[in-house]
Amino acid sequence: MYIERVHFQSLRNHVDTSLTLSNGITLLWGENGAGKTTILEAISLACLSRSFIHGPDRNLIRRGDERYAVRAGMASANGNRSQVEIDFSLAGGRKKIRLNNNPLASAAELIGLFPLVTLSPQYRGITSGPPSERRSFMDMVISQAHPAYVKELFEFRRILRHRNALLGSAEGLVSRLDNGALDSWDDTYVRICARILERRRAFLERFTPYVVSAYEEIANAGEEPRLEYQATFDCLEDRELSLDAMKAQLREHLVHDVRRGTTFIGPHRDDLALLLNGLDVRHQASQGQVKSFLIALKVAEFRYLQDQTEEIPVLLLDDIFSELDDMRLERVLHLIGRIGQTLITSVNKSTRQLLPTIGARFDVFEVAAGHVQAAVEEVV
Amino acid sequence: MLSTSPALESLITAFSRLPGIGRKTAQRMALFTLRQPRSEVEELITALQNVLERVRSCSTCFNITETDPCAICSSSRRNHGLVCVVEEPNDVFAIERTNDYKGVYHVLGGTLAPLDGIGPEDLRVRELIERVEKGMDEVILALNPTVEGEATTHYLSRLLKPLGVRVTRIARGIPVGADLEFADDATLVRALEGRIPV
Repeated sequence: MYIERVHFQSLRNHVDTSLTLSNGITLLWGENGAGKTTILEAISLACLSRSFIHGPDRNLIRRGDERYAVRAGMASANGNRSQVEIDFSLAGGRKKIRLNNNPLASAAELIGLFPLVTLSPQYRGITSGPPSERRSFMDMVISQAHPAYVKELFEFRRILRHRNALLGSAEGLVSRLDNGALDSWDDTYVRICARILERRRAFLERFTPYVVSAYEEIANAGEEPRLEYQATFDCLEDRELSLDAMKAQLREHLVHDVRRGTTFIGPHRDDLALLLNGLDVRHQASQGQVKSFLIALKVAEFRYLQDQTEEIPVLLLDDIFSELDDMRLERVLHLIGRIGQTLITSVNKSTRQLLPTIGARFDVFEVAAGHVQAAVEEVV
Repeated sequence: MLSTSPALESLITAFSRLPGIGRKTAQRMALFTLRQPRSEVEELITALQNVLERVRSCSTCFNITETDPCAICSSSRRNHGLVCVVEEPNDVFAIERTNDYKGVYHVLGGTLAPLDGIGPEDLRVRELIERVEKGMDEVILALNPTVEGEATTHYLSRLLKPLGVRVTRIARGIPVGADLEFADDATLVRALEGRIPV
């Protein structure tokens, strides 16, 4: 899959930008704040309906404007062409997504159609930030590979909000709860939790070998990476999750949950520990090991999505030259192997000298103050 | 912009409260009404008045009716031992259209939704229990396949089962005549889970 054209308006500092892209490597070069990353964000919006930079949609709108729009034309491996339109206006409040001129009911229908992998400084949190960063990494990979998961997550969040509302209505006293109603929400809750947990478990089982082999290629041999799912529900040992056991645990926490008006056990509180030789990389790994782990996760994501979706994902590399040393960078590009469409942002002109070592054809665009200019196309 | 006549303005406001009607459409509807012959507008007024005066809900099943009990509840050709629980009167219309269901109904009046502050006491749950206690063979739970419908289905089945009645729920799956290819993923997953031997 690759993106043939992308056209966007009023996105960050871009007024109106239109780009025709090749199915190879594109280097976006320019000063800090020129708007290079915004081009990657536009592509992320078109593929996944969201940017890799967290924040509400209104933050994406160019200052003084009231809406942003993204249009992209995609070409799939089988020759299919699709057009995606994303529109958001302050007045409308909700993002409108259209695929081939048909409105989509939700992002759930878009995610998975156009696989995308992004490596950005934003993702440093995966290896060093709070559990939410690792959960959202995991959820996004599963969502792209198994789109039904997106709806299950929506469903999970809605049920959780209902349950929390019910807990909140008890105003801190368990005796004020309608037990029958809570019971039925608990039933619904553990069912969806079991589904999410099973998805994540099955995913990690398939995904881990990808991480192991990617890490081996990037870093030194003799270090063994492992992903360990740390569930708040204490019954993951069995392959068959027992709904009754889960409900019992939920009940044990009830007094605590009611006091805080929120649910403390469930997939939204779980973590994914990243271990190297059995030790958590967050606390016990060197800078180099942490970087290698993150890259291994991303390379694994790329290959996993490629295998699952049978499309070559689009790859966005945001400012990785400042993140990676030349050796790691070369390995990353080399590892991804049969590389598809790749967009790379950089402030550093010297990185252009590095690209020829990959031995592929690439385009260079120069970005300045929200304007993009095609530089000379270089063929090596 | 507000219109120059307060009377027209209040009609526009009234129309814009209807589901799916925004202010612009409400304006068009109001102006259209204004241009109609007097007799047609009066017909509309009478229709509205009749709805207001004659239509109420059945004291047995809480469906919309003009006679109490409603035509379904008082019909001798219906199986009064079989009750289908639905959320809203719309759902009764939908099932009645099939002409295949010969039991009676119970309109719940919504679903459990703590986020909107709706609990069992806001629905016709107690009334359903009372009906079942008087003797029912089967209760079919035909609530929408939403998160709220699911929770309500769990809630009702837990209340009803101890009463010794058979409790069933409608199946979820692929619409008849539809292409598998176009079914959404969540529906397909549920349909695969709910597969039956042939």
